[in-house]
Amino acid sequence: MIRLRSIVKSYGDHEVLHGVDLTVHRGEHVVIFGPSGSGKSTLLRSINLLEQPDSGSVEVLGAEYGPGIPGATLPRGNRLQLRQKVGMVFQQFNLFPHLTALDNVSIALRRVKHISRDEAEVRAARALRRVGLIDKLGSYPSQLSGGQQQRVAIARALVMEPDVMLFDEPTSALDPEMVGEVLGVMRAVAEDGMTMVVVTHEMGFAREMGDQNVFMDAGQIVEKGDRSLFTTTTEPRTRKFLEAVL
Amino acid sequence: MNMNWSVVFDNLDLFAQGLLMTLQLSGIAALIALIGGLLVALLRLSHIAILRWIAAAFINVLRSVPPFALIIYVYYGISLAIGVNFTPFFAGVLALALQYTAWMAEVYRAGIQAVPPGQIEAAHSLGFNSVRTFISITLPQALRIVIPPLGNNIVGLIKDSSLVSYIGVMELIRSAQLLTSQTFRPFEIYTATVILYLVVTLVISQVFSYLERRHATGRDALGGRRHTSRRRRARLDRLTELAVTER
Ligand SMILES: Nc1ncnc2c1ncn2[C@@H]1O[C@H](COP(=O)(O)OP(=O)(O)O)[C@@H](O)[C@H]1O
Ligand SMILES: [Mg+2]
Repeated sequence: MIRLRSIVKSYGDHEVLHGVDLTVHRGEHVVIFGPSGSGKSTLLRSINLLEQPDSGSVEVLGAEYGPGIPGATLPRGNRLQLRQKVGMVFQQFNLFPHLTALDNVSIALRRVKHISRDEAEVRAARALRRVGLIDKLGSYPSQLSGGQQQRVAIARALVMEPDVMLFDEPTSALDPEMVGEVLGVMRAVAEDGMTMVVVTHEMGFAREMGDQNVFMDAGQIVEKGDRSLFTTTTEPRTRKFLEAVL
Repeated sequence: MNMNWSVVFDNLDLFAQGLLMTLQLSGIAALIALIGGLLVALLRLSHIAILRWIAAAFINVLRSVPPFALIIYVYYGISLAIGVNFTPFFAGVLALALQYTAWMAEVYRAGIQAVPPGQIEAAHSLGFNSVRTFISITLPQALRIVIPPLGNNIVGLIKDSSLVSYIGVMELIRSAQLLTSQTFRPFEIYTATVILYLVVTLVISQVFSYLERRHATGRDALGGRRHTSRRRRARLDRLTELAVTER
């Protein structure tokens, strides 16, 4: 469903991704972990072209985005359409502070999918119920806790009915007591069959949900594997990182 | 010193006319500047270097000319250069509008740049295009930020409009001058004039702090938490019920 090939990205003359390949299958839950600054966010953000790679191919659902690779045969896709198929949840929530929870979740239905206000609000209310916030429809982000804000952000992405959801350290900005409620919602979304790519340091979540676990370091994928990776890895950098976060 | 306030009360119509002219002059100029300032700010932030450069030049030049000089320059200089006779009113509006377009462009620019980039990324990640993102996400947040400084600018514009008296517009100051030359009661007349400016300024400040409170939300609302109307409440309750009862 997603195929990244030879993704290279530099900021100025600082190359932060050195030709990364990653394939994500439908329904798969991919967990990306690794030290800070290793390029996890940059990789995740090239899937929905929030970062435009300098070279390499971004294939999503049968269309090609990004600079591409010579000889590619897939049709070129439009990035606005790509982003309707790919939901994203950010570390800092990035809720719209001037809008209520309900409006945060319904605005893209109305302004991007041009769905009527009544219908959009019904769908938004359902999405907010799904994340356990049906009693917060009229609340502004500043009136919600971090965990509640992040759940609104998940509902905001889910309501667009994306084919895949990207999570960039969704619990890193939360107080410890709120991590559980957000991971709970993510687990429920995963169990509903959503394809997910999750950057996280929550190794418990990776052990439980991670079909493909990817360790990144210094702009490269060092190794990837299924759940057994955590116990069987012999790669010293992975071992060192796992020991440090556990 | 003997005072005679009847000179004020007998000439209330003259003060009213002067005030009305001041309000028309500054109202039209403010309206142009509020819209023009936003457009110039957009040029200033454009991806196209030449547009950015033109906007920056416009802003920097107009902000460094004293308002009095600009009014005279527009009325005597520009009208002569292009061979069209501006009315004093037109020249006054044009000069004030140009100068405050430049000031307000900087206010808008700062407001737009103060919106965190994460907001724009979130909108893009939902499929918003750039124009939609600006209208639905950036602008409403920027407006909240710029309401107080825009209010200050409008107060400044009203005060600067007194300078237009020099080219013969019968606004407050000019009316007061005329009345003084007929009655020789400058103290009473200018006291009344100053009070009128004070009232207008206070009203504008109140309007803008009301707008600021109305557009603040949540914790930053300074006690003026956004009002939820009864109709809106009922709508939310209906949605809640719908979502809870289904499936
Ligand atoms: N917008 C940017 N401008 C310059 N450098 C950046 C930018 N974003 C990320 N970087 C750099 O790219 C590297 C990878 O960043 P990132 O993908 O955020 O890492 P991670 O998410 O793994 O912590 C880091 O060295 C970071 O400093
Ligand atoms: Mg990161």
